Amino acid sequence: MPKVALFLRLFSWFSIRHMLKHRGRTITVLVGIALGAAVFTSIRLSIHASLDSFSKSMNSISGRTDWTVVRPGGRVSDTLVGLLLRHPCVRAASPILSTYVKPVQKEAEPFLLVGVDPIMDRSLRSWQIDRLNKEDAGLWLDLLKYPYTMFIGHPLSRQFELAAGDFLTLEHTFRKSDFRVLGKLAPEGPAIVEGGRIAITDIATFQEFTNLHGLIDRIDLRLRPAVSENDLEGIRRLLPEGVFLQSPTETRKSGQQMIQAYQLNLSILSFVSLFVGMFLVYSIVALNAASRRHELAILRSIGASSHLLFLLFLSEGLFLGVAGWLMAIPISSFLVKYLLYGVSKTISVLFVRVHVENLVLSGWEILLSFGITVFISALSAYHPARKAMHVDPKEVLSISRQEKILKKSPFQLAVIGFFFIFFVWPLSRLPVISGFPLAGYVAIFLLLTGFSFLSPWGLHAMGNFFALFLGRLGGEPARLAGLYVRDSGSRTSISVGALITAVALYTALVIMVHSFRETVEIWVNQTISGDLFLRPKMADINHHRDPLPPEVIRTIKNIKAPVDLVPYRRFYLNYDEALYQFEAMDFQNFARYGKFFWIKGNPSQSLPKLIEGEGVLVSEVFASQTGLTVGDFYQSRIEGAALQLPILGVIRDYRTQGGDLSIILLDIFSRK
Amino acid sequence: MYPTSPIISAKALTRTYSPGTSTIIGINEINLEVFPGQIVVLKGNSGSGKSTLLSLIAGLDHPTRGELTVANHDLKTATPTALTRYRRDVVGMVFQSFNLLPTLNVLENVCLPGLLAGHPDSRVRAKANELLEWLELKSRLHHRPSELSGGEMQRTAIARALINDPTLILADEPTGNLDSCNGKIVIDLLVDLNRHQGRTVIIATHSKLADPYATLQIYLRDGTITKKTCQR
Ligand SMILES: Nc1ncnc2c1ncn2[C@@H]1O[C@H](COP(=O)(O)OP(=O)(O)OP(=O)(O)O)[C@@H](O)[C@H]1O
Ligand SMILES: [Mg+2]
Repeated sequence: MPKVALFLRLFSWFSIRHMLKHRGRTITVLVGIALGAAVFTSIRLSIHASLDSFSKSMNSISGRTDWTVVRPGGRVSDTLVGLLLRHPCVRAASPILSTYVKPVQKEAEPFLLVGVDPIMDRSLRSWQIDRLNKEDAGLWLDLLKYPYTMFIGHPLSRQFELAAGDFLTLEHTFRKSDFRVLGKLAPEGPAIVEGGRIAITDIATFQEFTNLHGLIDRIDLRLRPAVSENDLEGIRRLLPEGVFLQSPTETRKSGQQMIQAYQLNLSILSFVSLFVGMFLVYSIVALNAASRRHELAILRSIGASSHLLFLLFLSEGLFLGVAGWLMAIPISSFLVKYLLYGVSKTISVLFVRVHVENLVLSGWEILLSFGITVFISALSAYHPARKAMHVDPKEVLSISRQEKILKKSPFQLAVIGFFFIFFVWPLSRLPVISGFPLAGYVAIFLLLTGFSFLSPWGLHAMGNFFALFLGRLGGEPARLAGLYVRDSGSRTSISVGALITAVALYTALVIMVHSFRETVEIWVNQTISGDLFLRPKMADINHHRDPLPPEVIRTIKNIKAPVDLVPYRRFYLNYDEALYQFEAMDFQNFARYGKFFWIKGNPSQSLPKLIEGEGVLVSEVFASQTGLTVGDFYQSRIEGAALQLPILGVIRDYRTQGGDLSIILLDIFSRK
Repeated sequence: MYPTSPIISAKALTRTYSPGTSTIIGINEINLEVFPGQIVVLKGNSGSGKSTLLSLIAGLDHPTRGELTVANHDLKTATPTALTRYRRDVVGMVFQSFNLLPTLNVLENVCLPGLLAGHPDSRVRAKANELLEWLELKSRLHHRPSELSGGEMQRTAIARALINDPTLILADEPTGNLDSCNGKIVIDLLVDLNRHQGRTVIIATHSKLADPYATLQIYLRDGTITKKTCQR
């Protein structure tokens, strides 16, 4: 009989039947594995979906763009377009503006409004109008001809029940205006950005609507083939101070990097969920191996090799892994729907805006989760399988055995546990090595294993106490129950270890996916204890690009009542490949109402300097990402102004995009 | 008396156990020769070393000292793999507590050693059916051990011991868990295997049931042979 067939038959006779006999136990373990695998898979899948949607959006919105002209923290003058087009290497240039707007009256999420020159933009992006007839060929140019007209994506037309000729009132910081719908955009190319919740209008209309006369967000350039570095230098020389050439891949990369960092953290965390399954597999296979010792001896005595026994028990782990993973499929498909929303929302708030419509099933992700689940289950079966392998065939005989049991005492285990936990704090303080916080992950691992090692001792102590207490309360049976907990030893402790891991994990995951976002939002709002926060409409989603209208500022400044004002501005910038936010505020007043948590630097010495505008504070995240710290110089260009300021302190800031604080606010205002 | 060379030959065979610091004697300096076709009965008080001696002959355990050769296998120096093969092909064992696998039915329990030996499925099955028919278990093929009586279980165990046509059959207290009627049936079967199929049989037992058939009786005390009586 072929070996594999024999093995499978024996596995079904010996192992499967045993599992079926102890159905409850087996199902519990399977559910444990399935939950772990489901959490892992659905988390990976939902981040993958966000990443995928982000990359697709970035690619389709940048179209055939080779380089982009930007002014970090500010906008570019539209006169630059003509200048650039005259350069022999520039094949096409398209000015572009975009912002999130909200339909008035309707309770709806903001959507993206893009302003382009319909003619210039054709050579960079392929916008397609839906169901275009021959006689409608000129429709595209109607954007130019008629002000306040727009094309909208399918989802918008569905949501607001809009057809060609209908009007929609949109609102932005400065005004509300009626836009006439010219038609629908075919769901392809740049029109799939934001899941199709996009509208496109002529650039002149856009500028008037948003009060940005003569200004554009950026200019996308398409160059002639084989442009040399020299030619690029030539183009750069055309640009005024503070205006730069940026590669669209760079922008995409920095966004992707942030999502990937989040993905790594969540993956590692959700990987812990598989640990729970690992504990369970270990405990059930160990239990089987121990309780079936005699059967193993029988097998050995009738000619089964120790190797075969090892394989039988290892396969039990494998089988549980595969079956658990299969059970995870329906759980994941339920979980992923919920997580997709949570994860993409968190990514949008913390890093870059993503709009995930549906799930992309990545074969690689599924294979990964399958591989990891099965591997981990087999790994946890390894140790019990080794034990099974060493069962003495002589045990079939009824020989009076005096087996010596070598077990570590609960106290010894607890010492190991304390030893592990002791290292958690120093490990978590170690620096990140090339973007991978290995020491941090090891610290998490030690924390979990440390507490698991403590559990036998804890149970022992608790059992003692409970036995006494329960004995008084419920008599002898209750006392015996208490003693059982004390003496059940490793079996109960493994379950307790699994529970510790599970609870820690789910708490951490909920924080990462949910409350983290909310905490950050609350934290951002509460850093300063103000009575009233005044900010432009949709400031967050529009990255604070549009400051308060001058008339608002004037009105506020003229308030007679004794009011303290803390003017504040925020810019979204990038430092090499790391995106970060630059915040400017009036430190004098801020210091009275708000406080930072300083990690490095001397607050009392630095405060006067900060108030004078002679330095900046950086967040911990920014410091670790850029390697800059107290004593270094922070350099950047914001709205054309070059900044070079000493870093006076490193502070705690929960935003993952970093955060940079300085007092040069008044300076910038006066320059504007 | 027996012209051929011995099937079992033990010289100064010793097995001691040392849990912790003390030393416990299982068997001590045993010299023994058993010839093919003999039926040997091991007798002695509890703890005298009967099971220990059987386990060494069965290849379930390693001697501490001395020599042990069974059917041309040197069991003192055999590797674990060789011992596994030896247990599978050379000996068939019957135990006091039957030692059937609870998740396998009668037919499967009987077939398993044959399958483990790598024999073709159909052949093993045919042979198992034949044995079970002879042992009057035909109607019990698909029953699990928990559904059988003690006598049925022991007969199943005998069928299992015979599936690979062993030259040597070892029985440790085979009647210990049976009533006298079933005990007699089992002893008769073992004697039958010896008389009609010429297999060598060794029975360790407290009972007198097997005494009349024994060609060699060995008395053990504290791990040493105190008396040997040859009949015939
Ligand atoms: N694994 C072991 N560790 C320590 N001592 C052992 C071990 N196995 C057997 N012994 C000892 O060896 C001696 C012989 O035991 P054995 O089981 O062979 O006796 P027995 O004659 O089969 O007894 P019984 O009639 O009760 O079955 C006993 O003293 C026993 O305690
Ligand atoms: Mg015995």
